[in-house]
Amino acid sequence: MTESRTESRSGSTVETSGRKALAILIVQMGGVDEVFRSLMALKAVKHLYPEISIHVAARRGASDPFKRVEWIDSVLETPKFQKGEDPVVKVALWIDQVIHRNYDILVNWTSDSKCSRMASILTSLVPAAVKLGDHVADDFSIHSYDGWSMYRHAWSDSPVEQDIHRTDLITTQLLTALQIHSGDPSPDSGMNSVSSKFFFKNTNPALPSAWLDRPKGLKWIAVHAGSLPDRIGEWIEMVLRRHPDQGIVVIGEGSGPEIGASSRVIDLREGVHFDPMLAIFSHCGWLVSGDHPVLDLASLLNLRVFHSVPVTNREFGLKWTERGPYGNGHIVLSSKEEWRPEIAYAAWSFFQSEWFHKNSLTLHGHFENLSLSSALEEVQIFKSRIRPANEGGGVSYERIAGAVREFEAWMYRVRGQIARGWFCGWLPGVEEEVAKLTLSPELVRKIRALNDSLLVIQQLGTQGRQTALGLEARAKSMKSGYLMSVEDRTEIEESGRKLLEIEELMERVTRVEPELECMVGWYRQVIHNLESSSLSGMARETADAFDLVLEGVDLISAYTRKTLDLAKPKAISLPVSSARELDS
Amino acid sequence: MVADIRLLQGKLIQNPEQSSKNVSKLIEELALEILSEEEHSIAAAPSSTKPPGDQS
Repeated sequence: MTESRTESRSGSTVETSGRKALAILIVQMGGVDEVFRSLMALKAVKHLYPEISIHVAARRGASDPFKRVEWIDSVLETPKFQKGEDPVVKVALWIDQVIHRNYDILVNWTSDSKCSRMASILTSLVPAAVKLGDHVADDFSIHSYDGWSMYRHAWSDSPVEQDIHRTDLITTQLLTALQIHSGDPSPDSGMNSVSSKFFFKNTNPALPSAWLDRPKGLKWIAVHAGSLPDRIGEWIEMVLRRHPDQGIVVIGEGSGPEIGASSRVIDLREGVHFDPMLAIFSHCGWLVSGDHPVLDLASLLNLRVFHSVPVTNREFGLKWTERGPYGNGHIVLSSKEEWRPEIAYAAWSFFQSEWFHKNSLTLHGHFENLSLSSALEEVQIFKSRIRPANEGGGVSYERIAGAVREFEAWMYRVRGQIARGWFCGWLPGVEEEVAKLTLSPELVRKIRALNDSLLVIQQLGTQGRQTALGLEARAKSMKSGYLMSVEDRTEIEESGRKLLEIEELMERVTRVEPELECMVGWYRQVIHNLESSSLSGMARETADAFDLVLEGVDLISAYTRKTLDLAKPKAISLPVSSARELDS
Repeated sequence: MVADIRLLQGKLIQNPEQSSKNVSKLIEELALEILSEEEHSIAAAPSSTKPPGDQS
């Protein structure tokens, strides 16, 4: 194939194999957890579009990991202020560095609420041909440029549970934009694994002497004590007692729980910097961690994670899945009330010995052997896997054992499917999905109740759509947006009142059925981001918002119908002999 | 059922070279945001308690 090389707007991009090589600026002002997730997403995008150049704007102090990968073309760090310097002048000069770069695409991936305003301002200031993510609008409020960012605000940043991981959300957002603006990726690209222990450049850092002097011949588990419950010390003792081939390296800032002295325990809690941490992780088989950015780092490095979800008020909530360990084979333990070291040990030791028992032992059997079978009711144990594209793609967490929360898990899955339908045009095979469900009277009762509320939302959405379309037609028929007849004005006011009334009624429905709050949240978010400045344009966008709500409701209805069909008693044909017996 | 392409493609900026409105106010606010964030990080994370990757 002939390669054509031409200079694009930015002067630095070329065309390769007929596809535009775009210059992309990622604005990531969040903490290191977001930095690691961004790197995971960018690596996947780079596999599919190897010709793009990637530039990053990041916060000083969290930008270091970006500088340790070779395929990031430049990193723009927030400036450091010296005493007596005028910060405004300094920031103006800093912005000036990128003002003439003319990026093809700028994406703001910052979701950390502490830094989101900073990132949004930068997104507004730096020129680019196409922008995605949050920005500061002319009225100084924060708005979103695209659907995925609105989705993040409406669902992912709220208590709504849905099954799309943050990494998948940003990856899909950028890939979709690239597909639109650059063309389809090469069909044979993107087959390589994204995570790897060689993800970052090797810098041969100086390692702590305690680590250099470690006993030889052991397999190592990194334990991030700072993010785990105080009883982690007991878990470590159990591992040391029963697994003589394992050593523990304790990491995590702060003092944390007391851990008994042993030649097989290396305590590095005084602080390990990034590069030594990478070197240490490359010798470990597991990372045991609570909720901490180290979990995202381990995912990047393909280090298997045993993640303990912090106990929250929402019993067995699934919100953690949006930021859980990414990749195949990670294990997650979610506890109902109290984290118990013996349960954590039982769960970890089962997966640690997976290769030996090769499915000849179940997790239930393993818990029984440890006299802990009743404890499974107090926890949920999940295993992560990357779903095939025909199931929607991305990471998912399969419940291997533990308490069942069927309805919530059902809604959680359906919500993710709605987003895939909205933004990817991908629809699930509802029948196959529903066939996997374990039906219980409780689940059927809840789905019936949901169905009643769905019908009301459907009616309201249809009314709202018609009202908005009527308003659009009326606005279009007027000669001016400012001068109008009394009749026009009355009708416009009436439509406005009706729309507000419909919104209020939708909210009332969600007070009865909180699982549908997601629909109202989404509608509110789209309305917050109306772009048009004309009445007819705003009315059209409002009708589009109702359209999306109705499409979401349709998909939930498809699931409820199929599930309730499955729950209906069915006539079964008996063998002739049995039928005769019944007759007699 | 896929959403309007406008929701997926991002905002097409007609004249990218043209600066947005309120530039001076935004730069002023950005300087304040960076300053306060810097102060906040120094107060919240003394050097011994940095997460991996944070080497400020």
